[in-house]
Parts: sequence; structure tokens; C-alpha cells
Amino acid sequence: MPEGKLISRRNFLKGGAGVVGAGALAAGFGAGSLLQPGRAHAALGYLPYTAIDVDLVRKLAWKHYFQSGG
Amino acid sequence: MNGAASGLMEALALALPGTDWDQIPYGGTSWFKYGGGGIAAWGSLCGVPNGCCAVLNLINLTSHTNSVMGYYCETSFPTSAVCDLYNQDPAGWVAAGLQVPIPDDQVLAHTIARSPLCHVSISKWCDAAGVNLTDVGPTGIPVKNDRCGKICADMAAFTAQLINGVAYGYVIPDATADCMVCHNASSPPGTPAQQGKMDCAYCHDGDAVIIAAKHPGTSGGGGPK
Repeated sequence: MPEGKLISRRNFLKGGAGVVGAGALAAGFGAGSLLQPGRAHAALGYLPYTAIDVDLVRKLAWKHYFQSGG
Repeated sequence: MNGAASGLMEALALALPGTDWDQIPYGGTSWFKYGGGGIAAWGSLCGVPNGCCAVLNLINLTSHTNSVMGYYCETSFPTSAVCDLYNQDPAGWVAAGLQVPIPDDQVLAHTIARSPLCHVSISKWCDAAGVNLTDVGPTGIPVKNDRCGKICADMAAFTAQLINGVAYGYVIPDATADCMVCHNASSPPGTPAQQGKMDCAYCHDGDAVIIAAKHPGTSGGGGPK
């Protein structure tokens, strides 16, 4: 990012975003807050695995290569 | 990258319904579409081993990524495995909307990349096959795509075997190991130090500009091509 475009967090909060942020803080991140995520997600860790059909994988990889890109 | 990763991810999602695999997109919205062509057609790491390693990382089996890289480098591709699978049920294959593979006895070349780079792997095969990247074959698609699709399928299947517990031992070729006696992580400036397990001789030979004229010996690098 060009140096002229850099903005400190302090200055950012002094601007319009600071108003939104302060308002949200005053509302205690209540319903409708711009800072509230739309949906809560459980943290995904490593995914489970099990033995899989080798020929099925071969066929699915071939399918995806041509149908959704290599 | 997407083909190999999505094939593995769809198989895992089918095998483990109701798990976090239901949250992971594959196919058209896969997270792993960036790696095709060695990322933005740079020809760097081939997307196929990249996709296989990405899935191994998702399931905390990164210990197998060395095997993926080694198998990719030292296997003669494409294998006949996709054709063998097609020949078991050609009508079912077509009914499922799958691309018909070029019969193995009509494949123009089988090559060992000796490199994980898309650039090297494709150029070596195209040279051996006498084609470019867009020449169309008997199934109506570029023969290069038939070749890369088969490697995608072969490598995903190999990775499935690793997941299933099949062991594969990759050993660095002797010529490369010889180079690493001097060129390693603790080499002094001027030697120089290096990071990697890739076949040295494929690029660092007498014809390659990469090798320095000051290197000891006749042409440097060494090892068979």
C-alpha cells in the first residue's frame, strides 16, 4: 500500500468509523450492530478422516478436473 | 489443484456424513482453485500435488506430504488407471457425464517429471509427445488436458492410499544427495546454502545457465538426466 494511503488505527477511529465503533460499543454490541457477525460458527479444527475408496477418489478427481477446473 | 483436492474432499464428505466435511466446499466453489497451472499460470508447484497436500493438511496428515511430492516426481505419468476404470463400465462412465479418457495405448508419451514444477512436468511431456498445450486428441479435448486430468486422478488415488495407511518411502536420488553434501542448510556463502529436495541435475547441468562457470568440476551438477 502506498505510504500516503496508510492510516493509523488511532486516526481511523477518529473518523467516521470511530462514530460507528463508539455507537456499537455503547449499545453493547446489541442486535443490529455492524460489528456483530451474522452467524456464529464453531471453530473448525482438523477434520476427521477414515478409509476411503481409492477408485472412487480417482473417478471423482477426474470428474472435478474437467467439470470444475484442475 | 481443485480436481485432486475436490475428489478427495468429496470422497471424505461421502464417507463421513454429518461431520465438518459438510461445511467444506468442493468443486466449483472449492477453496483450492488458485493452484491450477502452478498458480496463475506461473508454472510453479503443480496444482495436483498441491491439492493433495492441502487435503492432507486438513486432516493433520502433513507427514505424508513428502511422499506425495516424491511420488509425483518419480512416477511415469499418466498411468493407465483411469482408462482401466473406464473400461470396466464405459456406458456407465458416459452416463455419469464423465470425460472419456484417451486409451492408454494411444497416449502419446509417458514421462517421469523428476520435478514438482508444472513448468518442467508439462514441457517435458509435451516435448516427448510432440504436441503443444492446445493440440486436440481423439476424444475432442487437448491431449495435455487428458494427461493432466489423469495425473490429477492418479495422484488423488495415491493420496487416498496414504490416508488408508499404505506406506510409501521416498528416497532422495543419489546424485541430488551428493550435491547436498556441500549445498545444505549450513553451507557458507559462495557455496551456497540451499533449501530443497528437487533434482539438482535437471536444471543445474552443463547446458543450464543457472550453474555458475566457477563451479568445481567440468559442468557442475552431475547426475544422470
